[in-house]
Amino acid sequence: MPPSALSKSRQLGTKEMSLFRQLLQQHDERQYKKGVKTADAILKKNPEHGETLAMKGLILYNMGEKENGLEYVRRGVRLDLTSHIVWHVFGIIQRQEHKYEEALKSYTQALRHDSENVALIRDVCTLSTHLRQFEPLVEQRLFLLKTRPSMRTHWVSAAVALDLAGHHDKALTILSDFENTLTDLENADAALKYEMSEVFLYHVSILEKIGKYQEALELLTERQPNICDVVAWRESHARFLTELNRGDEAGDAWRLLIQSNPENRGYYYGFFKTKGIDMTQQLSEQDKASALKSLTLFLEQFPKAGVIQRLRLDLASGESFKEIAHEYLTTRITKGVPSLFVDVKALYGDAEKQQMLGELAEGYRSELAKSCKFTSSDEKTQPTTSYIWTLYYLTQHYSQVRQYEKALEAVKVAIEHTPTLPELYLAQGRTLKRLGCQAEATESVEIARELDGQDRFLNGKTAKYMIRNGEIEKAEQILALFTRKAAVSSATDLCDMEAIWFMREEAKAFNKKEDYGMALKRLHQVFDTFKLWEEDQYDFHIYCLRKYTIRSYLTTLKLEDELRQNKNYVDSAIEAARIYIKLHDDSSLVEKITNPQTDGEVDKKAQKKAKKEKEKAAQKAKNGKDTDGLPVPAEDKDPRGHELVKTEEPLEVAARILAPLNDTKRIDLHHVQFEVAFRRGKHAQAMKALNSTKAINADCRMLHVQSLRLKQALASDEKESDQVKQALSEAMDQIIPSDANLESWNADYLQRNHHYPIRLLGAAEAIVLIRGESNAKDAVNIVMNVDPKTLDPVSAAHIKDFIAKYDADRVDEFRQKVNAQFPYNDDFKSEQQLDEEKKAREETRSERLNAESDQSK
Amino acid sequence: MTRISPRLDLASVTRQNIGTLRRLNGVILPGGFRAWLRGSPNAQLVPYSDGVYEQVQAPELEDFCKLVYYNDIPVGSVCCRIDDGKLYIMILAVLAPYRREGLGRYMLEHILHAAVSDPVPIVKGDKVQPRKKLESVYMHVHVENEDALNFYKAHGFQVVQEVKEYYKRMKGDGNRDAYVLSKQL
Repeated sequence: MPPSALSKSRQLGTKEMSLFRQLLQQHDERQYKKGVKTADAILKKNPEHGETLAMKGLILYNMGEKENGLEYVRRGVRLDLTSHIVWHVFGIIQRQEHKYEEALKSYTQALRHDSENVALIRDVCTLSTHLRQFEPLVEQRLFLLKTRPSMRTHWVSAAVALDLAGHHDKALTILSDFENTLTDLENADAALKYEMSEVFLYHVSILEKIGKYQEALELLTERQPNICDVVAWRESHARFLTELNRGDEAGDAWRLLIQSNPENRGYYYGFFKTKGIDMTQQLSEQDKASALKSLTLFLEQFPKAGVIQRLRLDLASGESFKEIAHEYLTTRITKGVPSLFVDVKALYGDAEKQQMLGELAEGYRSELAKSCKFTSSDEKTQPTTSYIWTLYYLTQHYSQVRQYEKALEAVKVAIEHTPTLPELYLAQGRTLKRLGCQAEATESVEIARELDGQDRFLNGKTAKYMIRNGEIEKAEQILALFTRKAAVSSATDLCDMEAIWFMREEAKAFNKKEDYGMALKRLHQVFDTFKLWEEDQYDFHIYCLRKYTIRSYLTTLKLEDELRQNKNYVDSAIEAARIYIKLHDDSSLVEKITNPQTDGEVDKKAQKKAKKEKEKAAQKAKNGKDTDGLPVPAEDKDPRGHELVKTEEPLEVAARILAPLNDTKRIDLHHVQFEVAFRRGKHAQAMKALNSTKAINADCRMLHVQSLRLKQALASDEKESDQVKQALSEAMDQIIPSDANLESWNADYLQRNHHYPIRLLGAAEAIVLIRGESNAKDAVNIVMNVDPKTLDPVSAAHIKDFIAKYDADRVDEFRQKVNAQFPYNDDFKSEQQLDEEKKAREETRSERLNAESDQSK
Repeated sequence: MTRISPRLDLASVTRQNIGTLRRLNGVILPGGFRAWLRGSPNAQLVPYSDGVYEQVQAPELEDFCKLVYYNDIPVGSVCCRIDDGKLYIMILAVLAPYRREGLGRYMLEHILHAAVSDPVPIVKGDKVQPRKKLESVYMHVHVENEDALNFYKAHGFQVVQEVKEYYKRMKGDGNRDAYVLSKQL
């Protein structure tokens, strides 16, 4: 939105005045070159004219001279602080730089000097919505409505603002008033009809939100002829009748919906709610039986509806479950539905059902092998594929219930039977992955990929497994089969395409390789992508209100508000913070990463690759377009993430990344928040993190160790005021009593938790803290004596790291102990074992390729 | 006793699914794919020792090189080439558990039909080059492979020649001889 109105007294001569008007017009018409000339003409006579300087700056900025342009604008603002034009211009540029808060401040300044400029107010509204500053938004929207009530959108926008600010009643009043201004809707044009339909439905949705179902229902009924979205009308209608306990009518309403779409699960939930059965809650046996009965009736009406059949599995139990499950499984196995297991997986939360499903499938397996039937009493025999799909189901079943050996056995039989079904190799790969055997798992999915080069899913899956197996370069080559050929590399294309999974997996893999530069680079790419998604909503603030898609718009705003609670974001933030902590703790890392002393071979290869990519980019940059005709992205100035690693203040960066996160359920978030706060000397924050951890798990290993560290730090804390110290030590008292003997406090913890290997480690770590590192061997003894049967691979890895730190000679002893318990897990195999397995894998591969080959040796 | 009949389909061999053809050949043919590869009856040694997998993707062979799908799973293949106006069947093979279900017949009937018809255009209505007339279809069969011999004979093939030591690459002391079976079109 360009600044339009001229300000009154800016001390320009008549000639310059008209030139300035011309300048504004040239900006609006994007005649930038002419604009610069006009501006220069004014400045020749009035070199200190702020508004002209600002306008020249804006034009230069739009022409791509961002730095220069910004400098002009800044000068303009300094020279004329009371002009709305300079502030508006400044706001426009700040907005384009995505500095929304600063932009809003500038706009507000502009508004102070020109409070009735409609274009300005609209921009302010958009920014306020974007920043969720609802009170000023309401004020401006109401002002707009008062000034121009003839604009329909002003009514709706005002209602939306009030609604967002929580003033629902006022929003409803505005909507009612607005609706009353419109008559003769029946004869309106199609666009207006649609708009009003959305307004009515929005109106109804506010009533629903605040629980006024009776009013909502009345409005809905009254406006039925004006509603275009028939499905939304019916759904709302059914919901309101249900909420108002008008059982029979509500039941009929849901029935009508089921008739129109028998595959919508929500409709059945709604129907049952009218019978007093809430399907989202734990149901009594009686309710289950009655729901099951209704479903059977529905099934007679819609025998093909998968949702009904699946719902019956949720509700049935015992023999009747077995009967229904048999029908459900066998029809789908005969059909060859690959997603069968995923479909019924949710039933595995019920131990009885889990067992019955396994028994059924085992029964099919043996009977099919014998007579090609599911049960001996079947009339018809099955196609050969039924056997394969049964084995596939069993593989996933056993993998799910952690009987991995049985899973591997079943899939082996299946692969020998039909070696051309990719799903089998994927199931085998997933099982091996769960066993921690990533190398073998990767080989398995690679075999699947070779069967079908056209399958993008297989391609992505294989690449993911390769990345996890540390074969990053190979993975990127395979991914390149499906990414844009003109892109600099598959990795840059995938990052441009916002493939979060790829960034996450690579970050993890680089982190494992201690290539923290690349790991941070990928993690920051995740953050940037989320930031982009957040910024994406900006245009919708204008667009949706103009198009009247209000209901979807509000859903979008809600999604944006919750964006950063996404698991990918939180995981990435925690991982990045941990890396920054490492960089802080070991200052030699930066040097190691930025100047790696690798053996020449690897290094040369990497250099060659980088050079090739650079050349490719340079070649394309010649005309600014790549071979797809897309603009070439700016050269990557930090291809290895070295600049990120070199940060002077890693802890501050980590703190900034963690600051916006407050997911109270994530215990690992509180752990890392402690680590950052503790190192920054922010003891109160660290204390807060401890309390959050304690609220989730009072016996947590991290709580045990971190609280001890904080207690020790508090004892020698000189910085804090006495008052703060007092408060902190009182808080600490709640975790470690001040009169406690630390040795016996730790012994108690050990006693209480000796069945948990990870907590055993906590006790050991505490011993190091209490008795000093010189006595670390006592601590190592504790974890060495862990009962292998209680171990899990994750705890074992932590314990292994601990032993490596304090008694490296005993690492192998521990490794062997874990290896005996988890023979498949790559992390606990000896070098020799890994080598042998690799050799065996290569041999099998070459044998297979040899058998398939058409080439003479 | 009735059986729920499977869906059968054919698909052309392409660059993308060639891996599936490889897997089938490696698994089905005892001793590996290479052991079963030979040239035309008169050739002394294999003239196409490399690139069978390239050859089967040739556009003019599209109707004669197919994967067979049993309920959407590829379980067998037929691959031919054209030799001096004759159609030569290099491979016609099905995974063991899927034999005796009519897949071989399904594939053979397809190529016998295709051999006397014009190619099917990829886009409906496109003009296609009429196929050059093929005089006969023939193949080699191991002399001890009773099942295969009976199968082809039932489809009107006749033994026209016996080639001693045909399967030179076969390991072990077994019989390496082959019959040539042929059928006039």
